[in-house]
Amino acid sequence: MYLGILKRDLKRKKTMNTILLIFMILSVMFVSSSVNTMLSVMSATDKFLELSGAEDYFVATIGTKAGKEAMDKLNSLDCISSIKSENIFYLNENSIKYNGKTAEISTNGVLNSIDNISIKIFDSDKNELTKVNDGEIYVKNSFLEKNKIPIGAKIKISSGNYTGQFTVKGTFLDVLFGSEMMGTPRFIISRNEFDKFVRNSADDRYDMYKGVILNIATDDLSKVDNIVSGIDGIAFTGTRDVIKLTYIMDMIIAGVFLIVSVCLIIISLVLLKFTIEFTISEEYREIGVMKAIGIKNNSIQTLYMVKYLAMAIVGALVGFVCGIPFGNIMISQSSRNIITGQGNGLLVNVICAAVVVMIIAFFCRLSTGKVKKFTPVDAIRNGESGKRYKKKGFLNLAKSPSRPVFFMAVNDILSGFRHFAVMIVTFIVGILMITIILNTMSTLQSPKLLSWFSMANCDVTLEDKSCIEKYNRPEGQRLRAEYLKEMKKTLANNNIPADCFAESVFKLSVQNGDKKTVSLTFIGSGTTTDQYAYIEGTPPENTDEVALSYIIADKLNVKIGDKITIKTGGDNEEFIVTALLQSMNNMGEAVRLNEKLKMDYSKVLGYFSYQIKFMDNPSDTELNDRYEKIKELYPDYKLRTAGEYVDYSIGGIAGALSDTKSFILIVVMLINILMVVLMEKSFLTKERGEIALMKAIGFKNSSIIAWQTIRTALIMLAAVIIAVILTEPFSQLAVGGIFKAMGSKYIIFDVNILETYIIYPLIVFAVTILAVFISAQGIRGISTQEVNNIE
Amino acid sequence: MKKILEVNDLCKTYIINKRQNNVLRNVNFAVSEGEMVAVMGPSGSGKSTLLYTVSGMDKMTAGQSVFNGKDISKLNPNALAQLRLDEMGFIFQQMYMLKNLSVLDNILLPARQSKANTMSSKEKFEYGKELMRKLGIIEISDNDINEVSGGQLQRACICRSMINNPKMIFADEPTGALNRSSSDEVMDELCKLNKEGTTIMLVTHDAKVAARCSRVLYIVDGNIKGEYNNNEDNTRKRERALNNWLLEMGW
Repeated sequence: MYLGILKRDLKRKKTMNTILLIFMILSVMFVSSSVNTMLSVMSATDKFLELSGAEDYFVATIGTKAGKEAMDKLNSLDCISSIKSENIFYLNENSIKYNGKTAEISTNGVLNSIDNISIKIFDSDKNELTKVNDGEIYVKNSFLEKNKIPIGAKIKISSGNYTGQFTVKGTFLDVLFGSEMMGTPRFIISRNEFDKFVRNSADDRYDMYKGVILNIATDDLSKVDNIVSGIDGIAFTGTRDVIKLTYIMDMIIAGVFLIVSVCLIIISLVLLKFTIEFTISEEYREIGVMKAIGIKNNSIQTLYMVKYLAMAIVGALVGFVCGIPFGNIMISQSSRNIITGQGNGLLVNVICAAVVVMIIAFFCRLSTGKVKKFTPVDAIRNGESGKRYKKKGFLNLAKSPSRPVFFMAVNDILSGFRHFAVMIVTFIVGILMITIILNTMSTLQSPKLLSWFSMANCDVTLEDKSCIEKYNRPEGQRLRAEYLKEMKKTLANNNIPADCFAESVFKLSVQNGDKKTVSLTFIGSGTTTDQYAYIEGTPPENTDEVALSYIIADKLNVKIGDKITIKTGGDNEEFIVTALLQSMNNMGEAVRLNEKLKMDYSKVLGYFSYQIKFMDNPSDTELNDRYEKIKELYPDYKLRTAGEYVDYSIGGIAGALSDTKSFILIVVMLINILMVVLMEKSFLTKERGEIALMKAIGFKNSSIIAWQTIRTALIMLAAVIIAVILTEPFSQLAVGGIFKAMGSKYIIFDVNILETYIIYPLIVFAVTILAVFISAQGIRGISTQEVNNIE
Repeated sequence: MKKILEVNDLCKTYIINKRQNNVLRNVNFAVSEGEMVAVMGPSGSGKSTLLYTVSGMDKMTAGQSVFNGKDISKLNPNALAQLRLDEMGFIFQQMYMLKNLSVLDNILLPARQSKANTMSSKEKFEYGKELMRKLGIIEISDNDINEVSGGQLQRACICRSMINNPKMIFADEPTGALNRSSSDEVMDELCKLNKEGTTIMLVTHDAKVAARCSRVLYIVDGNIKGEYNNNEDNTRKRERALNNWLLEMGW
């Protein structure tokens, strides 16, 4: 008999059963793919480090002498269990040519032989790369994208005293230099080809092009750090944690997917609970009839449990299958530079599907459990146990000046907010997903971020790839200052009143008593120290004063007023700490020296682009004219606006985020469309009688469609407003931590109000409302005769 | 008297499982302004279908129903809705109301929606209250529809049907869900409205209710089998006379 009831139920209530089944499928699909993405993303960098055989500490030296010294000193330490070393050739900005033009690498690159890499690297299929043929080269994916070089193209590479030509064979994943923030891309060639560079650059003159990378296994990082910071010619040091942090920008995208995953899980569960409660409330009358004829509560509950469980199992199976490709898309979108793996793949999907089935059973038990409390008559009255004295409507049409359709829409929401809660939660979560990404993107492209990269504010930057050749000499500081003065004069002669300045970067050993570290150290040319941002204290006005990033200050355990020593040139000099700053250079390491301090520029690590700050306030048209003029004046330099420079410094992550933004916008719109279509369907089922009554008393179809649409529009509008209010705190919560990990603990999001708070919410709003409007056309099929369906 | 409703050769056929079911077969009748007409007949005879079809709530298969000079078979859904809103009033057996609105708001709803009703919002509000006062339910104006009795609710439905001063009220078993005393109260109100000039056509099973109407149409198998004009003054006499006629009809 029960089977018969079930069969008829499935046939008769096709719409509601279909809605429920779709929600079940979506829930399993979203939950399983999201959990998989979360697991993959959260363990991605650790997994990548493990797979690559990365040990505890990395050192990169400039010149083979520094490499040898480091090797000797480290080998004498007890705390070291192994050191793997690899020989490299450094490439500078002019080293790579494609089609006769210089191909862009941010500051420098590294050339390796495939058989002499201290870690494992992986090809684009995520298999270990072990062989490179003579004449071929493997490169980083972003290098190809940035320079628009196709696979199979020929590039020329020069280092030391040799130039070789290579065919680009493919791309690879490299845990050490693979992140977008690591401005040093690696290039892999065969042993024979590498030996040609070695043979032709044997002379000592070319030692500065050579280097060594050490992959060190140790149980005492501070001891290794202390030893390494005393060696001249160290280009880079980093622990596993530092390497992990270099992926922070890649993890922003992964983090966004993490947020998306959590959001999808919340949406799924909320929708599921709503649908089960809704469909079971539809069954009350039949439950009442069954109770009236003497069927026991348990039997009735079992009957519905069997029905919902059967549907849940079908939903879980379909959702499980659909979740696999959806999850793979999410994981593959989350990072291009990390081997994320596929979580635990099928097992996770199976567990998630099983959990969703259990949750459905729980919700079902909860909803049908209410039936026990009702008498048969209460159940027949659709679960209303007796008279209800609580007022449903809060507003009075009698006293409201609005049209009935609008009034009813508002009144419905206020009278039964719980029914609409699922919509508002979903809409808020969806809008937040988009606005947080937009906020992050605009902040990552904001000129305001310059001050977090140890630079003074400017309007334009000019990248000069020949700085090392021009200024890497003892008198480089004077030459650079003179060049900037000359540039200022040239601009003034061309009616561009502007200040010109630039940063030079050293890697210096900084010490406070027995606490020692190596830090990026900045000194400006053409600036004064008060042009930079500090979080505490006063700018270093004298040559014996210094400002430190709070991360370096914490490492050395110093505060404002304390004295530290810095190994400028060959000697240790004493400085007073006058200010603390925040920096996103090299995960927060920065020392700011007074510009008047004389430095030996032959030891400069690198140079930032020349910066130009206009002294007047040019209009947008004037700005564009000036960009063109400057390009004309300096055709060999690459011009970037301040925002473009920030984006470039971070590794063009905003571009990748932009793709993610589009993906998430589509996901959010699809979720909203699906949800409103299904919700509208359920409203039309539930409100069939009322719609018929409205038609009977003379409401036109268009008015009823307007009522249904306005109701969802109001919910959506409220969701947009709430989401906009929540965007700032939720952005801080979601991505603030990433900026903090990079060294910036005070983050103010640069919000593009028009785009974040108006255009995108409006797009989602319009699409959602259009979906409701189309779904609400279903009322046309309801006849006035159906007034008898009213409850 | 001017005819407000003229029904000519009205047919209504349902097709269920490819089987044709002729519910109304060539029905002809007319209702004059100010009349109060009851439609009686056994269950399944087509009484409610007749009411809904002549009022444009349901589509007719063939024939013509002319309401206040307009052939409703030729009107599109929007024009029909407009007609129902401005010129007709409906009362159903169940006291159908929108559950999120108070009793007064339910009554005011058609008035606020109507553009033909030229009263201001305040005047509509006052008129709604006046109707409620007239029907003795003013004390429930702010109540939720779940908080009032069936009789009160049906009187509220009568107020709603009256709010736009319709030319005619169509009532489908208006007392069907009420006890005797509530039923009497509702009929008292309908009779009062009729005396004030509102034309009423109602469907009923109850001879006592039908006896209060000036004319009774008896329908069997989709055809009007007979028509009775009740001219008795005394209530008891009216009921007796109608019962006798109904017995003749096979009731």
